[in-house]
Amino acid sequence: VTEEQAVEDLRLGREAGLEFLMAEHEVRALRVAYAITGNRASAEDVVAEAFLKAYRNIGRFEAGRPFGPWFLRIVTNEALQVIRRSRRAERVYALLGRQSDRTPDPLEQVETNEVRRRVLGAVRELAPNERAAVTLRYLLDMDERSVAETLGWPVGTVKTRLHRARAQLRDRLGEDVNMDASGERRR
Amino acid sequence: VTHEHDGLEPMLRAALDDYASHGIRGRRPAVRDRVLAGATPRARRSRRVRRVVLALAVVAALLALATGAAIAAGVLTQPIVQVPVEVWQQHFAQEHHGSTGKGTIQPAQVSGLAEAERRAGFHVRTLQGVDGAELVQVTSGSVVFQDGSREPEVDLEYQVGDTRVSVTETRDPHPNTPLEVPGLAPNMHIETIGGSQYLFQLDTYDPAEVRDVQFKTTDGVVFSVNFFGPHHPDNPSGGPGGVDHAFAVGAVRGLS
Repeated sequence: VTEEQAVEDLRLGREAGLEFLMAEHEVRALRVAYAITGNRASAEDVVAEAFLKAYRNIGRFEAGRPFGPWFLRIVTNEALQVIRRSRRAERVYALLGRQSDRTPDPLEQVETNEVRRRVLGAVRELAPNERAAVTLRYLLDMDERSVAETLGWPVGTVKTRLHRARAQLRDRLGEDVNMDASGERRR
Repeated sequence: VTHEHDGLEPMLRAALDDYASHGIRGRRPAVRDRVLAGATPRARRSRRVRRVVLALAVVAALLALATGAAIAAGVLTQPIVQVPVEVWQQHFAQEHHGSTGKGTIQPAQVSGLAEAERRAGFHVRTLQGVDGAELVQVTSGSVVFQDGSREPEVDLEYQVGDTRVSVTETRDPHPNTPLEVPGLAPNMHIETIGGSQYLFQLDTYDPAEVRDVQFKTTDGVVFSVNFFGPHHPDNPSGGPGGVDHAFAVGAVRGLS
């Protein structure tokens, strides 16, 4: 089975196509969703919903093009929606006079490399759109044009958001940005 | 070391790669199960059919409004009052035995409607009165406070044509009090519909579109009804847009 055949199966409403596409794209999508939402359960929700959206909207997918970028766009939009929804839920708690505790992800808690833990914490503090751009740029190693295509933003917007994100990260991390992974100062 | 040559970018690559690959080591069976369960024939309805359903729902709501036909308000609400922030905080401390501590959102579980209602212990209102509303997911969870009190909440996700509607229902431990709001942002206003009061929040890119409506019922459940319409062209984030006013009103009145 090729990806093209799997997409054609989806157009015909056959679930075999879904099985193939999940096997090919699920892990990468989960990692992106996890890096954006910071929560494993949310990442699973995001990716499951993204596959269902791809299934329902396969008619909009342009035949002959790679499925991956189109699907990744659904995943990132869905992940951003999850963050917004969680902020809205917090607004409901605010109306009740409450505020939710943002408990750190367990992996951040057990991250023994102090510098890396601070880096992840600083990424978590970025605005959702900037976090999404940083994730695609540095986790998937995409260039700015690919990030723009995936997120559906103009290239200039991507450049601005990445620039702003890096400035904020440098500001928050201070001298840490000159440390290497082992905690040694870079020359 | 200049910015262009400092260690930020390699550090980001390493940290994100390490974080994502340790957090997600492989495929998750729950994803496959949910996708296959959700790919039902009903879910395959064509976009055109869903659009027609949405258009009919909007036309019905507009006709009813234009002719002055009585649509029973889905719920009766507590009044919404604006109070100074200090008063708002003081009330919170009184309600929680002097504690100003935070509530912790407990992990939510996907469940059926009956199960969610049983766990919540209150009547969960659904979009029964909205034509074409398809219930996609029910999630139940709770909020726990430092004084040990726990309040249930239920989240319903609907698809209405091309629009997603999320209804979050959280029990207020003080059912008989008004819904207090510490001031209104420029894109927020209070509307009285059928004798009930609703807090409307409009889209920041298009004030003709409604993003969410919040209110508290007379039996003490706080609602947040959020709308995710088609993407607005002026919104550079690529995110969803809101819905028109008639749709939002139809949704809150369709709750029962």
